[in-house]
Amino acid sequence: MTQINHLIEIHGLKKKYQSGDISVDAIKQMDFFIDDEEFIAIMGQSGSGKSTLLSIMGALNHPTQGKILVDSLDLYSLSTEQRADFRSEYIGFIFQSFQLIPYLTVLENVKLPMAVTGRTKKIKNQMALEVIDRVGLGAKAHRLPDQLSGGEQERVAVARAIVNKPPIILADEPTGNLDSKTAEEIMLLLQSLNKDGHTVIVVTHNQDVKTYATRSIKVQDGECFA
Amino acid sequence: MAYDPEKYREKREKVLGIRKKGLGFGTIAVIVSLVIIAGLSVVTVPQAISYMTTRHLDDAIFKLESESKWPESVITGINTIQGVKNTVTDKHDTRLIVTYDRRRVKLSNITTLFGQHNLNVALLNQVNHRQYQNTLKEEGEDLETP
Repeated sequence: MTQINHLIEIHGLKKKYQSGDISVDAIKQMDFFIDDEEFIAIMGQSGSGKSTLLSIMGALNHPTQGKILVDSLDLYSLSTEQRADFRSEYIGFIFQSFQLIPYLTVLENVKLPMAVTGRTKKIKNQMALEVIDRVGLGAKAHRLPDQLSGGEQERVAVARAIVNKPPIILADEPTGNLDSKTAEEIMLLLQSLNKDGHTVIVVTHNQDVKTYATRSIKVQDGECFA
Repeated sequence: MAYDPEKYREKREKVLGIRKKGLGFGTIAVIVSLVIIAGLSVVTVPQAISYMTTRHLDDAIFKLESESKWPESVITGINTIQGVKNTVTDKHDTRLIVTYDRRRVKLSNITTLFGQHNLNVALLNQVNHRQYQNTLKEEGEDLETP
């Protein structure tokens, strides 16, 4: 464990993808920090490296070089099992394409991240229903995803991301598949989660997202500019 | 907000394995092992004790040639011989089973006593006590203690 001064610190981060003889520097060099309870918008064009950065921050993708420290934990010095525990304890993921299981109800989808937490069925149900209410879908807990609108599906994805009460929410283009009105609702929801104490990090190319964030970081050609 | 290392200490300790997430595999393995050992002990320990306490014992089965009942004085006399553990007659009082410690008493010490009482006695069998008990169990024979 290394002593740090920020909730998330990124030092000398580099990520190279190799495909046969071709190598691509997705992240050339990044150094920045994120404090607890910040709402960060990571802005950048397609292919700028922002999604790679998010996956590395979520302990899903090994960097080629550099360190990422979250709450003093050096993510890529942890064992695979510890990294899985880290994801379960610290991170809530929200994906652009929602990634809901189509044959499971809203309640069942939201309960999925709690599958390995050792909580009782009753507590899991109670926690899931609380967050479903929190995102405004209390009346639709037993519907299947295809019985919901795009915005509602995104809300389910948000509920699933926060059900384990993670301190950090990572959202990859959360408004990418939504119309502007629904996108605004989702951003307001993320903003309110941030006010509740979650650190929210949104990766997007949508400039409007900046207005909800407390700070933005621009990513361009594998480098970042705070 | 400034970083507070104490805020997420519980989560950090869970990730690092300092704080246990319920019962660990090791604990469960130890509990299951103890239950299995206790169960096996309940079955095997009494048998082992029984074996240790009876392994030196033999049973001699006598019958009066007159086929009459065994006199009480003879049974009492046998019971006073050092090394004789028990005497049992069958339900007709015709057969006498003497259980004795073969390290401490010889069969001849017992038969000598019959001579002193002028009894004509036939030795029907001499067998290991445990073996005889097993045979009785199998046959379901009913014995009476005098």
